[in-house]
Amino acid sequence: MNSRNRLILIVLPFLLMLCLTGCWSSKEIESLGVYVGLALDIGKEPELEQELTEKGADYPKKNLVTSTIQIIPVQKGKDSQQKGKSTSSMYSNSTETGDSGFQLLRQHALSEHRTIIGHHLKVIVISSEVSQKIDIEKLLKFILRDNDIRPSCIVLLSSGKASDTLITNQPGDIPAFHLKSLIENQNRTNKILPEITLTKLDGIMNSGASFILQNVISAKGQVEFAGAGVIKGKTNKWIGSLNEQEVEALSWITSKAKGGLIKTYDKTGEVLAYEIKSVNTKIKSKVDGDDISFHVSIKSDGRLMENWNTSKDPTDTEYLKETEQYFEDELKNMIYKIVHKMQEDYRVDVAGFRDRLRIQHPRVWKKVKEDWDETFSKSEITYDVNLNITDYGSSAK
Amino acid sequence: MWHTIVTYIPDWKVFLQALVILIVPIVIYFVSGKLQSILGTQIWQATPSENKSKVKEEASSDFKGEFEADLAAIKQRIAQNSDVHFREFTIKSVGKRAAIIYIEGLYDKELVDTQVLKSLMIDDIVEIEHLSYDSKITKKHLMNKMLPISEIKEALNLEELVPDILMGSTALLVDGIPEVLLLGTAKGKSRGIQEPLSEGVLRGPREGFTEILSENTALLRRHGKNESLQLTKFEVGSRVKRDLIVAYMSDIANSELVEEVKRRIETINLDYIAESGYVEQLIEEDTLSPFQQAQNTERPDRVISSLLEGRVGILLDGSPFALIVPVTFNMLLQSPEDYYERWVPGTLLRMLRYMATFFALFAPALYISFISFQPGLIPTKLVVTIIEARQGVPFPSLIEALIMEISIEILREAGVRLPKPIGPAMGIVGGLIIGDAAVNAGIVSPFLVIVVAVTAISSFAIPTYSAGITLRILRFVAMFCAAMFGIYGTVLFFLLLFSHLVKLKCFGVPYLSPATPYRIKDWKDFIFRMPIGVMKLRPIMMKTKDSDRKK
Amino acid sequence: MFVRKDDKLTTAQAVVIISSFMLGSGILTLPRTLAEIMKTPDGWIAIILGGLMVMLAGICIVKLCHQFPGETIYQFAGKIVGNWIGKCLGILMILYFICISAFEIRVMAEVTMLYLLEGTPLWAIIMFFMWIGLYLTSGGINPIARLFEIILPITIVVFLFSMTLSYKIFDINNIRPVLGDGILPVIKGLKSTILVFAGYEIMFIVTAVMQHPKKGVKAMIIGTSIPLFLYLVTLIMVIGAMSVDGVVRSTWPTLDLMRSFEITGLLFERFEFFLLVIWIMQIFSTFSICHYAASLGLSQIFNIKIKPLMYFLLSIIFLIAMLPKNINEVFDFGELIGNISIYLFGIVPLLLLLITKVFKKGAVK
Repeated sequence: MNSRNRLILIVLPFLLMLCLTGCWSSKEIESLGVYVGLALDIGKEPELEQELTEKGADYPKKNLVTSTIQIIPVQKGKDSQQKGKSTSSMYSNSTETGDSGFQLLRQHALSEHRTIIGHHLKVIVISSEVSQKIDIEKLLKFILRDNDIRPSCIVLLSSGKASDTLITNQPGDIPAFHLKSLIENQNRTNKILPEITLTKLDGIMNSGASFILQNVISAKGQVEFAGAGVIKGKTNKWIGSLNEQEVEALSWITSKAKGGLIKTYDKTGEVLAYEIKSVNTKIKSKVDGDDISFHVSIKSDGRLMENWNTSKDPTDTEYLKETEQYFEDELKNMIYKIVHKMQEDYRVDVAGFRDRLRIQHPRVWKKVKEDWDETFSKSEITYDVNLNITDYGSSAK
Repeated sequence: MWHTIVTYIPDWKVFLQALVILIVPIVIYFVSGKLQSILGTQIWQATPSENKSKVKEEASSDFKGEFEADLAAIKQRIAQNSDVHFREFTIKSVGKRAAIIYIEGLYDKELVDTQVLKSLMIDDIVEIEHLSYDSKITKKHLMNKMLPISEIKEALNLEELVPDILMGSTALLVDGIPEVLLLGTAKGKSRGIQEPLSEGVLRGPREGFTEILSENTALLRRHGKNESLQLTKFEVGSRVKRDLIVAYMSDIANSELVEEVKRRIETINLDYIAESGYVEQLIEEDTLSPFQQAQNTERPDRVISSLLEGRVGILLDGSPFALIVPVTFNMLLQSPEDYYERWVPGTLLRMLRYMATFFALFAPALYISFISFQPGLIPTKLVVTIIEARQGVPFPSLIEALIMEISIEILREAGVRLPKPIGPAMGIVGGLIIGDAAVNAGIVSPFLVIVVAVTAISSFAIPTYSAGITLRILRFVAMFCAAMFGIYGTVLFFLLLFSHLVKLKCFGVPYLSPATPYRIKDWKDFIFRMPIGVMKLRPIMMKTKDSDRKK
Repeated sequence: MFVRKDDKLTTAQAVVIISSFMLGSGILTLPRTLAEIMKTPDGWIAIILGGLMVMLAGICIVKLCHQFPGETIYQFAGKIVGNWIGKCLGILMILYFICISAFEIRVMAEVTMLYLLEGTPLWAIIMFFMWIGLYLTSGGINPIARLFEIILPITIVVFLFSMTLSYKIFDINNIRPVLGDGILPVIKGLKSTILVFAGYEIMFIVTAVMQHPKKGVKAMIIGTSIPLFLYLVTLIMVIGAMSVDGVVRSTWPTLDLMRSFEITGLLFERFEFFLLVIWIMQIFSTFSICHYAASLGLSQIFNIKIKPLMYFLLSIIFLIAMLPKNINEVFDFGELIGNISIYLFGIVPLLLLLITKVFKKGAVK
């Protein structure tokens, strides 16, 4: 009797533990789908959804946003894996229309048999149309709060329909990954902005600064980075866009260019190309009473990569000096244009001048930070450019 | 005010949970206390057993020196055994009657035939006239002049005599001498010195202990001229008695430690000690711990170097496994080879082993927690592959892992018993085919097969077999913890494991020394194996009498 | 003596006890609390100053303990200010230790629930954690110290490793300008930094069992420097990567820092896992030492055996941990504890030391 009691006492906790095992939070990985891309468009129900709504799939909502998520992997039978690999796509996109972003995501549970998790969300594409109407912060609020979605996710703008950027015509390619890896090409070109992750975006939005986001365009299932969209800090709404050359010019001012080139023409109209090896930009802010002015000085080392004018010889120092001059003129021209655009057209500071003032004149900054974009538009910006061609690659002539 | 306080009074469920939190550990406390008292004697409290003092005084009728009577007494005691033989003869020189008593198969036949019988029955003794005066023979004469044998013991009564005869000594009974002489020791068949099976090394001595105690002590002695190697003999087992030797360096080992070891050995009170594993289990402190508290080894070099560190070795007759106490966890992951190779490979190999230990313990648990709980922590591309690979696996990851782990364990257990020629073949069949078939049948995912294989191989990388077993057991506990709480459960298991390890002591030495408490000087021989020139001092944790190795 | 029967701690063990106690839930929220109060990136100055102040307070405690060798605060408080006041002081401290351990496990459970075990009930997370803590503390201060000696190096290495990985998103501009708003914000932030350094008070108990109590001051300084350094690294990396404006918005900024980057090709792509693992271990150490300190206090004040008290306290701690109804109340609770700690372990020791010096109490002159 006694020993039996003892046995029960010993065994019971273990049995209890075994019973508990595998309960609660466990969800087996094969029953999950991960969404890797999210596109936010202006609210407009696609056909399929309209039909479903007619048949009764309705709940109280305002059709403000259409969100498309890209779910991988696509479940397929064993056969299709072998036979139809080239034809079947690797992802499936699913669309919902409504207002609350969170509700939209959970709405997918009504149609997807897998639980979809957001841990692996890589890119969020927002169409400029919806960001023109709705505060970006409102659009992204739930994403920032969600405990699944990592803040390492990058945010892009799309001048066309955002959901189109999550479609590809290349079999075997997953558009979200494609977009994510495009960012990595920064060392090849300075037309790509440094990535803006959710963490950074959150900080920027909270500081009230205006900012630019990388713009994506798509045509016929092909996506491409093109220019950038400008978001005004006060409203967090889209106010316009910058073209590729302006983005390039910005990268010189912000000193963020990791690689890239300048192309220009010499006086005979032949092509000249300069490859950036390093950029060092210094912005000095000057405060004189109420007047705030900035001086931008750009120093860069680079390589002469192309001169179509074959009669000239780059081994000649004189010629190098001459070409340097062409590049400097081109760069000055670019910078002039972008500064003009910022100050006159959009009246926002997206080149980080605010940071310079904040660091160099913290007291002045406190006074002007409330209405910085306006103050910035009135401040004077001067710049000097110093390019230095160090070599001409492996071919001398 | 009162109202706000009331809102903070928790629900009755919370009180219930608080009660559970209170009661469960109390129950566990009492259960484990009971278990301790049932399973193991509390070794540090036990007093030396009484079996030594129980010399049977009442039967101590000494031999009288009368041949017939004494022989009859002996015969009455043991002659019913078929393997006991009596050989009566007359000592030629003095004409006295004598008999030898021996056990067939155990006695040293060559010794008896050539040294005893020949010298007593045939040889002319030079000083024969000296003896023939009184035709009386004394023990002294016999030993001094007539028996050219080194190993002679004497027995005064049956109680002393019989066990030795049964152990293989040859008894010589001579008329007129009240002592029975015991000649030689057992010379049973023994195997030769072979390379230890369980602890092979590529570089280093190839000799291992055998089942014969005297050979084992000889192996220790043979390691080098050394006066301080002290071998103290004990007899253990109350019914079947066996010799046990406590070996230590008298001028190195801490004398308190030696005393403690001796005390614990004296507390052993069991009728039969079959193997040194018995000794290990009878002198350990914590019976409920999954960790071994004495290191067993077949390698004499390992024992000697441990002795030089100030530890104590225990050798049991009939067991090729010597025990080394006190043991610390890092010893279990060290191989003698670490010292024989140069220090860089030695260090790297050790790190590798620590890593292997980690894998052997945690790999399946991490697999379960990642697969079932934290898909967000796996790299994205891997997640996609795993999801695709696991399509169609019908079981949760715990069951899946259990299936594979248990079958691997069975395979390993079977491998020990399989005859040598088929063993490897079966291993391949089991490992490859079961694994592959299980994947193809969709019972397990290919990732798990990798995990299980890594785990199995890792647990073989641990130089001590017994430590490997411990890790294998704990691995299953880790798996259950992971299945309950994922990563959090694994962390809890880690904390539980280390809470246990830090509480565990082996002969007063913290089990995790020198990792904790920090003994920086001992770290020269921990995860790193510093050049031998640097390791000038003995481990501080052993509190040796002589800490300098260079004197 | 080969087999030690007395539970004496080495100086290194005293160091790890102090450090492990300090490193607790604070490390995840520190950047936010500082940024909220200061609104400048100068938090790191506040941390250094706060750390130095705590060191001073700690040295005060050690000096006080030197007057009564071999005795804990519970035992000698009565000798300084009289039996009854001393007992009240002791009970206050016990309450403090109980509250701090309750707070730590609650925060641990909240974070675990949010990021690791969504859907598992709070009590289940806490329960097993407490049982393991009990298993450890029932062995006394020595095993506790030994466990800390294992956990702390792991914590430091893993923590620094994961912090260095975040260099990719680090931007020096975010922690500039230095003292842009002058020294005032730093002083405002000082209080919250002192809160995260709570833990030095354990010297009230540890000094009594140290092998060389004279080295208590040294232990105090090193023991505080380790968390000081880790907090410094945390704050600089977190603010550098997320900027003050971003940090303010994040509930668990340090964790969000780890979630803000992915490094493909480094075996694991995501590193918050490491941070959470070591963080849970640190909470475990804070919890167990607090639990031990509280039980020891009760047993010494009321002359009861310590073991039953440990079991009993488990329930009490659990009940207190379940009191806050939402995350805001949890944070308020933490702040309350911190404020109490400033009075209880900042001002009281100073007073006690003054009293002993003036009235020449204590055993050692």
